[in-house]
Amino acid sequence: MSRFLLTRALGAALTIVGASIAGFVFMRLLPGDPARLIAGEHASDEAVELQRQALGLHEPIWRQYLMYVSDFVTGDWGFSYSRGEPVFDQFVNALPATLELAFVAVGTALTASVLGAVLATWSRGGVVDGLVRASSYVGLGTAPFWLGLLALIVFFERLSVLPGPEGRLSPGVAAPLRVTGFHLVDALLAGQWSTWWDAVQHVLLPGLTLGFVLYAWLVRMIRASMLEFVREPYALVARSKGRGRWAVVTRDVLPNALLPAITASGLIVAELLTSTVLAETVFNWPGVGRLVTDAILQQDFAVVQAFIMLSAFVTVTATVVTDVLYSVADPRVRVRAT
Amino acid sequence: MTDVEPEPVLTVRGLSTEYATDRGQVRAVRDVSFELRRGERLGIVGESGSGKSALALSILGLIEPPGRTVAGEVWLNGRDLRTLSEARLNRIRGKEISVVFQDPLTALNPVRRIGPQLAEAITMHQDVGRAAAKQAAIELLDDVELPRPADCYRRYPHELSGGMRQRVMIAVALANAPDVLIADEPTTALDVTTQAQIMRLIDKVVDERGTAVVLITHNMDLVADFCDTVQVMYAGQVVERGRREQLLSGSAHPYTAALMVSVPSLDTDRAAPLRSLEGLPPDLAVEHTGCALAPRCVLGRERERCRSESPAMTAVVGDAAWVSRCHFAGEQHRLTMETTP
Ligand SMILES: Nc1ncnc2c1ncn2[C@@H]1O[C@H](COP(=O)(O)OP(=O)(O)OP(=O)(O)O)[C@@H](O)[C@H]1O
Ligand SMILES: [Mg+2]
Repeated sequence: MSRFLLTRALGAALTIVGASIAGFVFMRLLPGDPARLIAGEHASDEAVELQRQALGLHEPIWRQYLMYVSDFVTGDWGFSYSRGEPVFDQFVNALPATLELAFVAVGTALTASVLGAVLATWSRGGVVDGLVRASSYVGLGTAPFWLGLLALIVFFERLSVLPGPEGRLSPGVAAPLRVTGFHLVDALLAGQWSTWWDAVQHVLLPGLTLGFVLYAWLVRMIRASMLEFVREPYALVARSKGRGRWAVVTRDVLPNALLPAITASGLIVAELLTSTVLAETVFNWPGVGRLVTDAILQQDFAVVQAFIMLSAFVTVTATVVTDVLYSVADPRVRVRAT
Repeated sequence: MTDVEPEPVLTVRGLSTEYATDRGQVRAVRDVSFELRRGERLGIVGESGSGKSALALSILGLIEPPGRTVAGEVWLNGRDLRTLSEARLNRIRGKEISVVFQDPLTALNPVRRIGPQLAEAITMHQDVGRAAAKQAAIELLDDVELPRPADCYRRYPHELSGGMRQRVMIAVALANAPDVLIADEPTTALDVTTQAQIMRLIDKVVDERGTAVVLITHNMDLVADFCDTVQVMYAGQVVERGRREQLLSGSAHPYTAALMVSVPSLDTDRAAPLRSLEGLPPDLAVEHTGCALAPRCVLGRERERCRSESPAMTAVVGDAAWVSRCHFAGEQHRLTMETTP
């Protein structure tokens, strides 16, 4: 098992290095001169040249890369000229907002997709199954930002039951004292009920929009494997023992069907990353996604570069964690891994 | 033993099951009727696709869409299972009637340990605590002669050999000492030595419990060793039924006679065609007139009656327990007696 872990970790580290090199080279190949951008459009050539020296742009590219990486791991992610702040601080401030959104989205998506897949399998070809499939098609076939806009039009403009795209809290509502960075948690800790309720209302639309996109993915996958496993002899054996149809689906089929879902969760994290960027933009959510889209528009390379590094890290880590989880969850793999 | 036959524990009447396929309704079980008495061992034989498994599932009420049992009665311990609600059936399945399937490799849930899969068969039907169920499960594993039963209890299915898993399945099926055990080709997936061991085990455990057995098989040797009565199926119908000696030595149906000479004694090659029968079984999706066997039958191929008139089950030689679905049962019986050494 430890050898298995070691090889996985090593492979992951190599992948992250590869991705960071690719990202670094790509950023350098992009048109636009970072030194000129930072120094300003009307700066003298000398000033630009000085800035270039300061950024180390004269060094050979491999040297630049090594410098960047060694700075990166020590927490020096560069300086964001567009906001006049260190990049690292910006991410630290934006991350809780994104994570809060992601937790709400993943939580609802997991619950809804497991429930949906179980109901679909139980009704197999019936009305419920049809509804679940239809909902999955809608989620898969619609762009997340479009879904977000639609949700805003319906719940904010027409029905006025939920707040519009104004971020995490209503204007004028002060953020609760920062403990975890999650407003939903911090407001509770501070005992500020009205702030908490305000945060809930604000996270609902972006969270559910994002959750729905994930749900569409997940429910399709879980349903497909459940329909496969429900035809397995052990499901029939369970029935012949006297277990009812519902119990067979939830207790015998579901645990088997969740295994392929675990395998796909690396992909889900990647999907979540891209969808979050879009959802944050639509809902004006001050998270990492918004940070990056703003940075791209401003050609603020340092931020984008850091985002590429982080995405590679998160995606690869998720994949490794997935593999390890899978090997723990599936007794058949567990043996081979030791 | 008295001369009075024990009362039937399972009575099947007019059972018919259809599968909806792209080619139309496939009628896999056609008007099957039989009785199984307490402690009786009935063998069901027939070519692949003759509806043996479909019959077993129909009896248990476990035909899933696109299949449907369209007619018939299944009386078990005085009630017709076909009229009962799903909830009541769940209390009967696994308790009064249970089943062992062909492939032990896929019959156990791969992500769950053996023990709980067996113990739940007990707790589902008996009001016992967890510890007692575990104890009973370990005893059952011991009963089916698994070495180190307490250790087996904690194993996952993939850690056991095919033969061991089939022992577990037998333990599961017998956990509540059912009145009827249906064994659907319980040894087909196993190697020859294991086959013999498993049959000896089934023989022992059903004997101890007085369980009536329906043994579905391709293997005539198994029937000869194990069964009291035999029922032969062809194209979804029962074509002959009688006591073992009657059918094995003096069959009164051309299909049975053909089975006797063609089925290899150790059935490894399931697809082996019946040597003395030409052609293939009829397409179950289309209704045929006359005897289902007629186009392939040595006796009936040329006879007008076989092609036009569907034969009924008739007693062969006065003995009401021996019946054949052949217009010329007597003739076939004489033929068989002449040709068997
Ligand atoms: N799920 C299903 N869908 C459609 N047709 C089916 C299904 N199950 C069985 N059948 C059909 O019913 C008929 C009887 O099948 P069954 O499995 O009962 O045969 P069998 O006698 O058990 O054969 P074997 O010896 O190969 O196990 C076959 O023609 C088969 O094609
Ligand atoms: Mg079969």
